[in-house]
Amino acid sequence: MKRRDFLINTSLSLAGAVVVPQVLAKNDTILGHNNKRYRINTRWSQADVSRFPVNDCHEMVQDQKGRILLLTNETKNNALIYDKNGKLLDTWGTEYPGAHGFTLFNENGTDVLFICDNNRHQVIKTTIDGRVLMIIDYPKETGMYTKPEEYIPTETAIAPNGDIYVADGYGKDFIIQYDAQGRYIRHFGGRGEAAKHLLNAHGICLDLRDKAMPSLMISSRQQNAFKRYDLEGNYLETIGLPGAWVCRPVIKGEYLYAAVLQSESRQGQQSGFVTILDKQNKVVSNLAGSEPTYNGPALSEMYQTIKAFQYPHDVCIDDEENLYVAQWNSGKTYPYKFEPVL
Amino acid sequence: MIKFLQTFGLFMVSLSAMAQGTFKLAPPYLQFESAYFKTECRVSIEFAKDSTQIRYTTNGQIPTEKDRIYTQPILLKNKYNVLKATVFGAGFNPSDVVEASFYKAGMPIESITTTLPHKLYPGSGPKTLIDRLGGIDAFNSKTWMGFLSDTVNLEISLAKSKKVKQVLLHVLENQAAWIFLPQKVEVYAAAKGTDKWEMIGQEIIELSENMGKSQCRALTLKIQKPRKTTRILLKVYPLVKIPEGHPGTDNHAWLFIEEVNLY
Repeated sequence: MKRRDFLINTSLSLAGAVVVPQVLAKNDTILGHNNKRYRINTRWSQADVSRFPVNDCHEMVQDQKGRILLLTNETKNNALIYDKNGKLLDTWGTEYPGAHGFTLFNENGTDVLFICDNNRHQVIKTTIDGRVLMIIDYPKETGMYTKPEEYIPTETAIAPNGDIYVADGYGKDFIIQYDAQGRYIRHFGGRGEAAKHLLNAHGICLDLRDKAMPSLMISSRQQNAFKRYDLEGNYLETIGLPGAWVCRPVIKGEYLYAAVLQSESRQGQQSGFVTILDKQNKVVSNLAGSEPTYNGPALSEMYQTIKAFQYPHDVCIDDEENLYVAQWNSGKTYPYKFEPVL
Repeated sequence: MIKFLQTFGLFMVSLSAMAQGTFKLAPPYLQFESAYFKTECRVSIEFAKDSTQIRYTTNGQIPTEKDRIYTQPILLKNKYNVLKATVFGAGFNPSDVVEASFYKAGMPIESITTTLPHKLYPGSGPKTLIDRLGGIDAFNSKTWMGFLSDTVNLEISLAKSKKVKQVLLHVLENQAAWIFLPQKVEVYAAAKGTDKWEMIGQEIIELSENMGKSQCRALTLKIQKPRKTTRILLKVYPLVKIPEGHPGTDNHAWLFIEEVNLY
C-alpha cells in the first residue's frame, strides 16, 4: 500500500513539474515602461491550427459583445472570432484574399465592419457576422486613379456622422472621404515633399480625445510618424516617432497604441515592437522596444530591444485594458495577449 | 555625416538555444560616422533597456559575460579594427552578436578615376571611393558606386611616390540583390609620366556561399612585387555570369565598391 501511494505521489509531482514551468514561462516576461507594463502570453489562441489556419494576421477589433475579432488573409477563414480567453467561437469569410484593414463601427447601436482588401482594391462593409452591406470600388471620382490596381486601401476610419475615410496606404497614399452611403466627398494627403503629404499612409483613426477638436490621426509609416488632420482634411501637425514604422493608431481612453512593424535601423530583420502614447502624444511605453527618452521636445530614436515580436501589425485593446497583438509575415503565428501589470 | 543608428551586418551567432518562454534580447545598436577614419574612430553602442549590460570585444572574439562592459564611446585607432558587441540581461537569452569593422586611411590619395558606374548608382562620383565615408551595407546608400560592366578600372594617383605593399578594396556582398564579390583583381603600377603598366599583384576571389545577408567586405590584396610609384591601376573583374544555385543565375552580377585604401 505504501509503495503504491508513493508511486501515485511521484507521478503527480512529475505532472506538476511539467506543468509549472510552462505557466511560469508564460507569466515571466513583463514588457513596457512606466504605467503601461504588460505580461505577455504567446499561447492565448486556442484555435486548432489544422482546421483554422492563419496567414498574415493583419488587424483585430473587439465587438460590443466583448468578442475579439481577427482578420487574416487566409481565405479558409478570413475572420476568426474569439472570446477574451482565446477560445475560438466562430469564423467566417473566404472571399478576402487581400484582407488587411479591419475597422468596427457602432452604427446606431449595431456593430458593422469595414474591410480593406489589398488584392480586390476595394473596401467592403459587412455585418458583424460577415454579410456584405456595401462595396466601395477604386476612387476614380478623385481624378487621381485610372484603374483599380493603382488603389491598394489599407485602412478605414468612420466618423461619428458615418463618414468613411479610406487610407490608400499601399497605393497612392491619398485619404479618400465618403459619406455613410459611400458617396465621394473629397480626398487629401497623397505623396509629396510638404508636411501635409504622406508616405505609406498605412493606418487612420478618429481622435476624439479632445472633445472640442475631433481630428484624424494618420500613419505616415515610412516617415516614422503620425500626422494629424481635421475632419475636412486640413493638415494640423506631425507627431514624429523616430525609428518606428508605425501601423494604424488605435485610441482607447486617453492613450494611443500602435504596432510598430519594424525598427528603422533594422529593416527586414523582424525588429518590431509596440508603442504607446499619452494624450499629449508623448511616448510613455514601448513593449519590447527601447525606453522612450526625450531631450526637450525631441524623442530619441526608438528600436526593438527584446525579440518578443517579429512584425507586429495591429493592437486591439479590450474593455479590461488587455492588449492583443496581431503580426504580419511572422510564421503564421496567432495573436499574443498582454495583461496589464499594475 | 550619418547621425542615426547604423544598419550593417549582424552576425547571427546564437549564444544559447532559446528556452521555452524565454525571449532573446535584440542585438545592441552601433552608432558611428563612418567605418573609415583618418586618425581615430569613435563608436557608441546603444541599448535603452534597464538591467542589461552591453559587453564588447575588439580582438575578434565573440563577447562573453567575462568581457568588458560598455560604459562610454570606444575609440579605435588601429589600421584594422573589428568591434563585436552583445547584450546580456537577467531573464533573457543574450542577444546575437553585432559586428562592424573600421579601417584607418592608408596613403594619401590625390585623385581617382573610375570606369563609368551604372547610372542608378553613381555614388557621389569617383571621389566616393576615397572620401572615407561609409560602412553601411545598404546598396542604395550614396557611399556606394554600382557597376554592371565586365571590367572596372580604378586609376589612383598618389601625391608622392610610395611603395604600396597592400590594397584594401571595400565591396558589398548581397547575393539576393545580385551583388557579388568580384572574381579577380589585378594591381598595376606605372612610372611617373608613362603609361607602361606593370602588374605588381593579382588576387583570385572564390565565389562566396554567403547567400543570406548583405555584408560589407574588405578584400585584402597583397602586392607580390612592391615598388615605388605614384600611379596604381586596379583592374577589377566582376562576375560576368552568376552560376547556378545562386540568386540571379545566368545574369551579369553587380559590383558595388565603397572605398579603396593603399598601405
